[in-house]
Amino acid sequence: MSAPTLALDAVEFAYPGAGFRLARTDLVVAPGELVAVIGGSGSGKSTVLRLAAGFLAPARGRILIDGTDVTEAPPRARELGVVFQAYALFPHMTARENVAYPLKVRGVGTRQRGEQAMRMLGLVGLTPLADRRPDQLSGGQQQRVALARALVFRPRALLLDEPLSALDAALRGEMRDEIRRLQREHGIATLHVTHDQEEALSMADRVVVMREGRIEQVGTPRELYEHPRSRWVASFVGQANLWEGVVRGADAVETPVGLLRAGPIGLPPGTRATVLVRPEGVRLGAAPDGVNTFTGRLGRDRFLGATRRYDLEVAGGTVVGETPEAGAIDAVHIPRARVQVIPAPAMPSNFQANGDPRR
Amino acid sequence: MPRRASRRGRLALLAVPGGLVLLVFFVAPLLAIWADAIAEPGSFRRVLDSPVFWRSVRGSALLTAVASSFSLIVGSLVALHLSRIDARLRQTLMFVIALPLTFSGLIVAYGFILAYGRAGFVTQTLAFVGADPVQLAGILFSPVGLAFASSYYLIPRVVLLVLPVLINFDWTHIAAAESLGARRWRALADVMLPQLVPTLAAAFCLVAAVVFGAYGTALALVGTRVSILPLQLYSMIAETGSDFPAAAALSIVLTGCCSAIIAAGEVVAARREPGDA
Repeated sequence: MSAPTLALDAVEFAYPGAGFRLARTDLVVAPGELVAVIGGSGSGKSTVLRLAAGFLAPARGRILIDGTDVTEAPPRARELGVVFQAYALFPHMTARENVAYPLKVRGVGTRQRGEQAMRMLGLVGLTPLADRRPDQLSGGQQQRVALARALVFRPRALLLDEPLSALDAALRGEMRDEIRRLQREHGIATLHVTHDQEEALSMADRVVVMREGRIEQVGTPRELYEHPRSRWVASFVGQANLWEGVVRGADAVETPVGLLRAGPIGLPPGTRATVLVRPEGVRLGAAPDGVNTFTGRLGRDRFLGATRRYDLEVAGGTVVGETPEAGAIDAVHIPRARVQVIPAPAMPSNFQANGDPRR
Repeated sequence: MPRRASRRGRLALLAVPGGLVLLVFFVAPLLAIWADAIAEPGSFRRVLDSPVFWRSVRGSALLTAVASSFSLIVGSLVALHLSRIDARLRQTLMFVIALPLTFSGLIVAYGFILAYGRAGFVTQTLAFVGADPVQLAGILFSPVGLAFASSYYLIPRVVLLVLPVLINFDWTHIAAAESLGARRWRALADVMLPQLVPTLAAAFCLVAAVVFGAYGTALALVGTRVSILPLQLYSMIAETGSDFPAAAALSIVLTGCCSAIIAAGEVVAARREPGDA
């Protein structure tokens, strides 16, 4: 098996004087793979990127690029294309000059680097704007220039630091596809840091979820969404109904909203657990056998275009569901296969009687 | 419409004090000098034909070039350091750095004489280790010494002008350049310097205009021994005092030179933000 393009091997880091520290972290990006790192503020996701780029030096551990230890190497020697959150385009240079800059510092001749820069700008659809300065370009166009500049010197890997956060929602969707296309065309290993879980799930081959300086879970987007390892990951990745409960049998969990039947749970009775039900798993109407059926009053009802997300206020809490159908809702059911039981590591301090639908 | 007109009237009223000051303390004296200069034909010709004038022009140019360049280099480095430190410490240091601006030129000159003059404590201390106090003090009373003393109040001006730009400088540009393959010095030269050049040029022009026209420190330090335009003008008014039309003509030339330097700085500064146009 070939060496991963980028690897953090038992890396630890602490900001001097600050409370934040990155706990021992192992992370690999395989050749051609796009790995997204997600987490809230202070989770350590940007620190991981800065360590990989060489802007920070780890207290312990090694950073490897194509199997070579680059822990002591300065950023310029790592041959990584970095796209910054605010793009960091040089304001006094045109788009073409910005893209040609990495070639200029590598001693490529004026004509050759001009041609290569134009070819790269062509790939991102900016040939007619090559002579404009960054302040004469829109956010999306600046983003494209930044991508072209990061790719033009054929870096060994691409590091993206929240590259879409400055764009509006419509443009973000477009740029996600654009970045993915370029990344695939170049077959370049990419580490993409973002706080936007939707962005991570839609773009990445694998997603790393970080929280308070440590990795919570690593997996494919589907694994993370369908089989989160903890309540926190379940709440962070996608919409979720989350209820604290206690296992009452081979397929039953007692929760504040009532006894929920699941598939085989595999936990001894009495075990504390979190029950996860994704809103799209909630079905309208009562179940034919009456299992996991809830009746109640319709609370908040949000129109989301193709779908509708509603809160059904039931005895003991709220059930959040999604449906494309219009009309009144007074009963729902949750198929057994849609009920996931996540063992709780310890009794949570904020045990809630009500359901706790979270983002 | 009447509301708009009355608003315009109020705004015009606000401009009255400033306009009066400009009229009484700038336009009127300048007109008086012009009147004096052109009252007698040939006053400008007498100034321009005088070898003393051209010696003073050379002296002023040398003093301005040396003092401004030295102040720009030192002031920029100080500003760079201040931009990278904690904001509270920076505020304290800025207070100390701006202090020389509150001193009169005479105090500055007196301080330099007490420190670096023939009997100055620095000169005497250096004399202990074998330096020649006469030679050392000679430097202070030369154009170079004058430039050195002038830098004392020019450097804070450079710091005040350059510091805001450095504080607002986006250091991710440097990180970006380094990640793209540039060494630190190259990143600074290719990315930071071009963004700073308009400010540095504007700061250079401002301090150049100040030192070109300044005479207080020069007079106290070197008397009229050094040939520079402000001291030539001083001696024409205060000492020889016989050719006032020529003195007025020289005043016009001096004002014109300073205004031209300031204008050059303004033109460069106006180009600072091309995207704002």
